[in-house]
Amino acid sequence: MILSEQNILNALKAVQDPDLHKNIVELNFVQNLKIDGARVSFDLVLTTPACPIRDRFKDQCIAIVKGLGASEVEVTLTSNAGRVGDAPEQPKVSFLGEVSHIVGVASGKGGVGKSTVTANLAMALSLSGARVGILDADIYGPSMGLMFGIDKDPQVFEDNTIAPVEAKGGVSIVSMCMFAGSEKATIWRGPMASQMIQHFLNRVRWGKLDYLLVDFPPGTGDIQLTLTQNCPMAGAVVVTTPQEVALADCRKGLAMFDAVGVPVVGIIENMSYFICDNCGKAHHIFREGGGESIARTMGVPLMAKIPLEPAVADCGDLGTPAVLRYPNSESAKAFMEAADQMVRTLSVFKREGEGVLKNFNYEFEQLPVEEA
Amino acid sequence: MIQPKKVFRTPEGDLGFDWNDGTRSVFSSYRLRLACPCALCVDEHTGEKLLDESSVSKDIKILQVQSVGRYAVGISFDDGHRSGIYPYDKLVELTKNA
Repeated sequence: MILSEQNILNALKAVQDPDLHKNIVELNFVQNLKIDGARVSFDLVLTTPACPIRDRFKDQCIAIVKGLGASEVEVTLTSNAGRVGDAPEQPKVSFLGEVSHIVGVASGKGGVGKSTVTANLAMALSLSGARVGILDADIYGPSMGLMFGIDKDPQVFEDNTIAPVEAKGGVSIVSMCMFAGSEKATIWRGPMASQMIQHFLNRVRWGKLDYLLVDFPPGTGDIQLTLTQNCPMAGAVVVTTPQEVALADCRKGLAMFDAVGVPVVGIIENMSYFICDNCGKAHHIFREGGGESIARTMGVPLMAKIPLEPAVADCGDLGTPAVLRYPNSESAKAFMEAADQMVRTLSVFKREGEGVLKNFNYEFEQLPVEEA
Repeated sequence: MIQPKKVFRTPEGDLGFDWNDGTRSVFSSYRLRLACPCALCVDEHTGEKLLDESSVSKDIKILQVQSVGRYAVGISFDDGHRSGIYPYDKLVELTKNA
């Protein structure tokens, strides 16, 4: 068979994206196709650099094109990761425009391990090749400093903008703990807290990020509303534990995101069961099936069940997320799977939301004129 | 989840939205100003309307339309009022009750 652009593209239609249910040619992933005798090269432009099946795509493509008679096939994996603030009308008041996906990690109840989940999801994404940041928005009880063992202060520039601190695994972090001493309490009323959050959102020079995880404070109050109103969230993850007292609050968290139009990626059940360090048996010390039941009734997926493992439990206190320190532990595997699922679901959300205005600020007089 | 695909104005100076479900809404500035759901115009607890409608000029104009998160628009009017946040689903409802 002759190696022509048309032949190659036709053959590559056999490669399907399992999440978007379309083939890679239809999705416009194949670009920059070059044919030089029997040598073929092209780029695979994925929706995210953390695409969990990118290597499978690559292998399939190479096999198919070689099947057409090419002697050498070079496939370069890249990602387009369309920017949140691509719209020209976006005012230049914020650096969030360079962030592709902003994801909230929230819970109704405190103490369910939200920050642990945020830290590990970020680490898992970073290990899979994405550029990741964390905004620790829990200004009353910031914990990202401890989770990543950060002892540096962020750089503050003359124009009052802030550079995030680069922590373990290349994750960029900004947290309230970097501004107030760890022993000092942040005692602020709502308006003050909201103002600080807006400052964090708009004044941090994140640079180009694929994912920015926002660690929400527990509950559904002032700060949570400010966060959802001031940044266009691509999705949210809600963390719970199996007990009814946590599940009841988890429902409220889900309802909050529903009210502000942020699609929920899924629920992560933390402290699902205890893995005995002696016998290795899984004990359901709280109760079983709480996460499943809430996922079913609220119509959102249960992304992962994270166990309590004595060997892993001190990772947070020691300043290295479990995914990095004990990558083979059950907890780390569960976090990696959750991160994969998050990446896939966000891609689906993005495709579903194509053509929808996300972030705009129009002068009335400059709007296009149309007949009613 | 209802979201806008396009924001436009009409030759008459009304504000219009094309929604992602294929429907279209058009509102006069006056109607939107009267429908303002903010705490200055509607009592937060009782839902009682606090806005004195006679104080709103019939030819009030919209100055700016800005997204609020993913669920609403904030609208500034030329009478200086800019605290109203109009959720998209409320706007669609308002169209139906026209």
